[in-house]
Amino acid sequence: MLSMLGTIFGNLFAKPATRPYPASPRNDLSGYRGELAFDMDACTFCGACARACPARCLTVDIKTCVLQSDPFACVYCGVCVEECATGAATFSSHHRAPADLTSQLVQRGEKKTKEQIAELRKRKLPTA
Amino acid sequence: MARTVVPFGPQHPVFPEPIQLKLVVEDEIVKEAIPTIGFVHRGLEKLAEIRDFHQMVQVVERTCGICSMIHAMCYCQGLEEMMGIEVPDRARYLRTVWSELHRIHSHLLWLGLHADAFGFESLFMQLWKIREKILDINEATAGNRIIVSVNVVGGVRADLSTDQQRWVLKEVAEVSRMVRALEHPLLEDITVKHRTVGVGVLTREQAHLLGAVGPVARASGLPLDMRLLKYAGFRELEFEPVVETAGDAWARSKVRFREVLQSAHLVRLAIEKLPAGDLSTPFKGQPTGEIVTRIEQPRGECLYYIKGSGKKNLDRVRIRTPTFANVPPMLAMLPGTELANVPVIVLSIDPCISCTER
Repeated sequence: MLSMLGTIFGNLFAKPATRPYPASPRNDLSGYRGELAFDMDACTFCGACARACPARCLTVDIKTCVLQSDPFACVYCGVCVEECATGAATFSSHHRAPADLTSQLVQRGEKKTKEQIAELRKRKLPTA
Repeated sequence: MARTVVPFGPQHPVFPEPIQLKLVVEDEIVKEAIPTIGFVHRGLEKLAEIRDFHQMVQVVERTCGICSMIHAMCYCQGLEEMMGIEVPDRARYLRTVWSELHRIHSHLLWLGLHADAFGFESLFMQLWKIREKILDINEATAGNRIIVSVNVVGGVRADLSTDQQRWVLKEVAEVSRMVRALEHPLLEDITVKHRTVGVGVLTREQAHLLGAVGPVARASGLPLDMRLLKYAGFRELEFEPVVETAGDAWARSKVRFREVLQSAHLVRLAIEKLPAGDLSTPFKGQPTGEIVTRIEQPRGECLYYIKGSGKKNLDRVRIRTPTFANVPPMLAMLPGTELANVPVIVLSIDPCISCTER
């Protein structure tokens, strides 16, 4: 019985173990693979991400410069981000908001010249 | 009273996943148990024919939602051995760190479910509160909480910076401290002991004959631990398998409890000895030949058979998960026990049905 007293008094003055979500949401941890985003200004539509994707959630059409991604089929493994030669694919550290319907994300860009592609490849930051 | 058959599952409060046991009972005493599996078959092995061997890392990782990283590690180790790839030392140690973190959170999850199975809900919540710390470590260091995707054939994809190493060491020490504080209620409490001591006894001979693996075998006195095969960082890290001799549900929870502390110690050792170097070895070519690899998962020995014939798709991947090996020992534990003890016994093997059915 006496050993319980410590726990009782400890709990009286302890902080709550839970957070009053959504009033105080959890801080994002850096390095978390949250939402996948593609920067159409940097994308060269080479299709390396689509070929590497294990979930096959990406479709890239180089002729029409369209990148289609399915965030509901994505498994958030991060392979596309590593494969991307120009750093167009990135993860934000915040998770994707819930949705009641699945949808595809269609993004359009412009065709890049060879010089632009070479410049974009140089810009990619080394992965940590 | 005449014999009656009581269906236990596929949906039952103690089962996170569906398995059915047809219990033949006589006066509330179980005489026989007949299992039925096949409710959650997903055909993951078949995917090897349409996904290339790099993409299969992410597929095998999804075999299990708890020890995901260890599945991918086993698969990668198999391919590396088959293709003669030497993994960098740093990658071997990082794999050890994440695999032991997975073992800690898997055991904490199980200890919580075990407490819940005998009706100790506040203990369940305390244990899962500790588990959150490990999940946060995974999230911050590897990018995801459970399915961390750190393995690639040839090494790992993520690294631990010096700051992260320091933080992980601090958090793991805190986890050890918090887990130690729960030792008394989890293992010595009189009501807990009443529900677990002498329940579901599996003798050493039975464990050996029926092919028990992992904590089930170790709780019956068999020192079986695949980490002794010296894969990854265990080549240099010294440890002794945790062995108990009682063979009952209490011994199995004690083995897992002690393994949490042991794994925390191994994480500490691996981070302290973390060598500098590359994260992965580049290689060319496609896997050719066949291989069997074994690895120690939180639930026991996991076996992968991989066959490739020089194509980018593998011919066959066969996964034998520890729960599959532990079902016959579980069926041997059940006869002679009271119906009320069945949840505790079934849970004591830490059943992972989705893995078993893949």
